[in-house]
Amino acid sequence: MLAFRSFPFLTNVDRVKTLPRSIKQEFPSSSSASPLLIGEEPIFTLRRIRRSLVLDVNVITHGSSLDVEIMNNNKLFQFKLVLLGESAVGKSSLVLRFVKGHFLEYQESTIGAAFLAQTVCLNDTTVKFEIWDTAGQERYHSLAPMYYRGAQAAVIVYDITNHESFERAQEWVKELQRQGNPNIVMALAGNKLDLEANRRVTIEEAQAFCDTNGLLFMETSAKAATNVNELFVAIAKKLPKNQPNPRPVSDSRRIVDNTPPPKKGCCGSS
Amino acid sequence: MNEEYDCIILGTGLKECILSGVLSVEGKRVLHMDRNSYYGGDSASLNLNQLFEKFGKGTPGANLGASRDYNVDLIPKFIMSSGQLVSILVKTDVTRYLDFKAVDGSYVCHSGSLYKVPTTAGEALKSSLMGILEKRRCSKFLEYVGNYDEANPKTHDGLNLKVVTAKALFEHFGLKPDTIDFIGHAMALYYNDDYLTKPALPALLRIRLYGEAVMRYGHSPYIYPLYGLAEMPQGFARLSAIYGGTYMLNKPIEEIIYEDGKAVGVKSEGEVARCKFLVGDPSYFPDKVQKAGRVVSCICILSHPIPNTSDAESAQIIIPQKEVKRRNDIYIGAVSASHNVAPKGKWIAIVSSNVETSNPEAELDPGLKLLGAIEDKFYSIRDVYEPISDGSKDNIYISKSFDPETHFGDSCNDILQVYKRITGKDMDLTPPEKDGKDEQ
Repeated sequence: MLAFRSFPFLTNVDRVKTLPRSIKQEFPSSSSASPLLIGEEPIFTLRRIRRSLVLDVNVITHGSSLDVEIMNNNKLFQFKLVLLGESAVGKSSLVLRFVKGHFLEYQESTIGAAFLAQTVCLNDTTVKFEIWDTAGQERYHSLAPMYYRGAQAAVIVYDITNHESFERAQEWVKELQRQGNPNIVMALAGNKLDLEANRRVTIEEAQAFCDTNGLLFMETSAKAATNVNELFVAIAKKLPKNQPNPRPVSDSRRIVDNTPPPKKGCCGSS
Repeated sequence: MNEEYDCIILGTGLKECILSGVLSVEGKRVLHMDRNSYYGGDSASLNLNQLFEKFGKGTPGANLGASRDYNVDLIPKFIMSSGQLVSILVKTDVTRYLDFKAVDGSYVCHSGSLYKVPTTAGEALKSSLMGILEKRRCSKFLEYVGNYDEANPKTHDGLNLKVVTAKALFEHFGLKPDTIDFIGHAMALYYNDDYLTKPALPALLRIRLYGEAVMRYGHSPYIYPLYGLAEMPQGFARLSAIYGGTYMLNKPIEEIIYEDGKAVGVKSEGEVARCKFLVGDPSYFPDKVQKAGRVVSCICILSHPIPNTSDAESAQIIIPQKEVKRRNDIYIGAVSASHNVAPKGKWIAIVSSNVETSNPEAELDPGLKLLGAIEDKFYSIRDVYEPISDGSKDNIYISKSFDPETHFGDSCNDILQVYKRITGKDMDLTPPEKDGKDEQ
């Protein structure tokens, strides 16, 4: 009480430095943590799990000219996007292609994609996706409710050469309609378009399902980089930018403070 | 499932999930299973339908609002903002999955009235909790607590706190019984008076922890995650999964497989997964644990804030044992829509204590009386278990059940001890190196 002021650990400089000034700072929410990283180079760490090489993607952001946009009073919006779909349909590959432009032929199924972010510039807004990968927890139906929580966009992925994965994708859509945010923007991605010869799901069939359920739909190839950026841009365009839910990133001063000088033109979309 | 793992973990309570996350990060192959279809075990947070189902109460009434707006904790606890759990959250970076908010206030019941536990000098001066002279003595005592440095005998005031009892330390400062009660129960957060006759140092450290916690965010020493406590086990489970941990819910555990007296695997749904060692909560090892206590609690749904808390959206209330002539304190933890655990206009208050009589439910009456009208309530009595052995002989490392403490202090000690029993080393809790860019 009275004497708390005189507790030495509160006046000891070293100690005070480690004390947070606000809860937000000490516990950056999933959505407030990343703006600081805009403009930073992606961080990849490689490590070995079991037999093969696994990418452990910690934090990735790639907004090359975001700072320019912000200085031009372009609004920055941040959205949580979750990936869903059966194992081995290419969820992680799609994200890696989108975020980093990479494709790995032999991706370990338990890839440790923790927390990825990528920005998309539209005409008057910049959309930052905070992308959650399933981390393999979908395999035994053990995705936690936390995963869906607050997600404003979802990409449900299936493999066009595997009809079962398309059926499973439809179940994920139902699950999201049940569990997720009612205004969630959903996109269905028929991946592995490069394996057209083995196609088992027709475009018509998938398109019909998406029309009925109000989903965006694209066939993609993470390997050949077909329609990957287009998919995320389409989602970015469809996301509501005027509701209270997708909050603009407020502390833009810190973003500008932490961004290296602008280098080149706008990213991805325009 | 028919595979070989380093470690199989049974139960997805907070303790098991932290251990799972940390072990996975260290490169262990972990298989983590739970017999329930949801995460959290005893530390789960349930929606309204799940809550009614668990307590066999049928369908919730429409007056309570939407089921999915509720996240009702099964164990009532807050997080001490300067405690070890925060260190673990920061160290593992699981904070990135979670949002926390401070708890509005901590209150103590004294002579039938509620008093806010002062968190600033101003509040302390205004508080009518103690007289002005006693405030001065109390202030002197807290100054001693703050200045105490084990390495510097000058700060000891001639007292060896490893020998001197807490009672003697209080008497040294001439504190009155009411003040001792206040400090011991509302600040050191002891739930009974056993500590008074033990060496004073642990008590001093607990008071100091409280002071540090209060200084962090003001109002109260506690923080609490949006959407309820079960967000934490889920967050640590995600950490574990990211580092290769395999998760299976809804798995009945049929048998623990032994070879030469050592656990080497688990049988579930006819399949066997093998491992080098097992970790789990007591409910998976009924023949390897003993009863260490009983806790009674009552989950109450209210349509108003707790009276006399200045309409706090979240609060803790401590009813010290002496106040109600008990041997253990009664605790109330209240949370509401501001932490996204109930619809707007509803509060969830959990009243709990250690069982002392053969009529445990009645023991909570003094707490329930403070709540005003109650929409619905759910009593439960649970046994607290602890492992009989340390796991070195059978390779089974068992955590303790959650204790009645108001926060995760002893729970974290348990996690760190289990970790040490498994790995032979202390868990590294040094704060992660930040590149400094995100510090202002």
